[in-house]
Amino acid sequence: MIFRRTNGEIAWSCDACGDEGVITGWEGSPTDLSSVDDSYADGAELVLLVARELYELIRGVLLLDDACELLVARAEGTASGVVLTGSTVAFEELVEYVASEANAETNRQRMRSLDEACTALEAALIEE
Amino acid sequence: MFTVRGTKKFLDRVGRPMTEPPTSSTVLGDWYANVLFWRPQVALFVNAATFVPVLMPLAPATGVVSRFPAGMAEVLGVLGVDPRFVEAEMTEMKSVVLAKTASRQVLGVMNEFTFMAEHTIGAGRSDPTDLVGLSVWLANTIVGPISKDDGYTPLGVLRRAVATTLPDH
Repeated sequence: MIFRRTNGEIAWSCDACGDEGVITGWEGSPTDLSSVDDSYADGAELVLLVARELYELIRGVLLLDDACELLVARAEGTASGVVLTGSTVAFEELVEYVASEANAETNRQRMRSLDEACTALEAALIEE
Repeated sequence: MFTVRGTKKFLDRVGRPMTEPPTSSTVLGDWYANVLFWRPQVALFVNAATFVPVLMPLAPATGVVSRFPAGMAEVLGVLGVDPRFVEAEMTEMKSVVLAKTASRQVLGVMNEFTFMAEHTIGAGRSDPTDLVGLSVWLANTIVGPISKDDGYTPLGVLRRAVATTLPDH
């Protein structure tokens, strides 16, 4: 659970492990995405549940555009995996970025994992 | 006949895809297509066999695939491709079929081209209105999946395809 306080602080607590904390001084930092605009990525909204390992792999992709960056940053962890929410165009672009990273990857094992991530995302998109 | 395999963004603007498209009768085979949200919007075509890119104005979107052979011919001409090869490709491109994308590798290359084009424009090194010039520049860049034998570039793969088709070239 996340609560944003009026003074800008973000209080959070984890439903799974009970850990909790307060985040301060985030505004204006590299992780502050509040001014990022993803309105160009139109299309119907999709909600996909992906495995935690798949999400960690996607989170490691170095180059993402604004819509994909927000898609990854908005992810919510659940007991059964990670929930990604975004437009169909944002998801399609995410597949393209993961594919691009796979093309540039020299480590064969990671390349294979990225290929599998593309397959999993595409399959999830088709199902939706 | 040739097949244009579009991303969802592209197909939403251009037309409905065929579920099981026939095999392209051209030497270069299928072309992939995507929309770049530049002002004005641009269509990026990438050849599945050689990764050669062709950038064209998207508007009017419904006619972009019928305008594509002429755009392709212009880029191939500037790249120095034998006119006989270009003409033979054009002859086989009288009809077109739309389909969904099927290669993650080509999708990744399209993404790399988009990033490189936007970077060179953003750095003031390329003119965003010179789409032929940008296409030619991209055809000479290093692309991950292309081997050393082809010089790592789409132009290298294209030259090999032309040489195989026209041995007297």
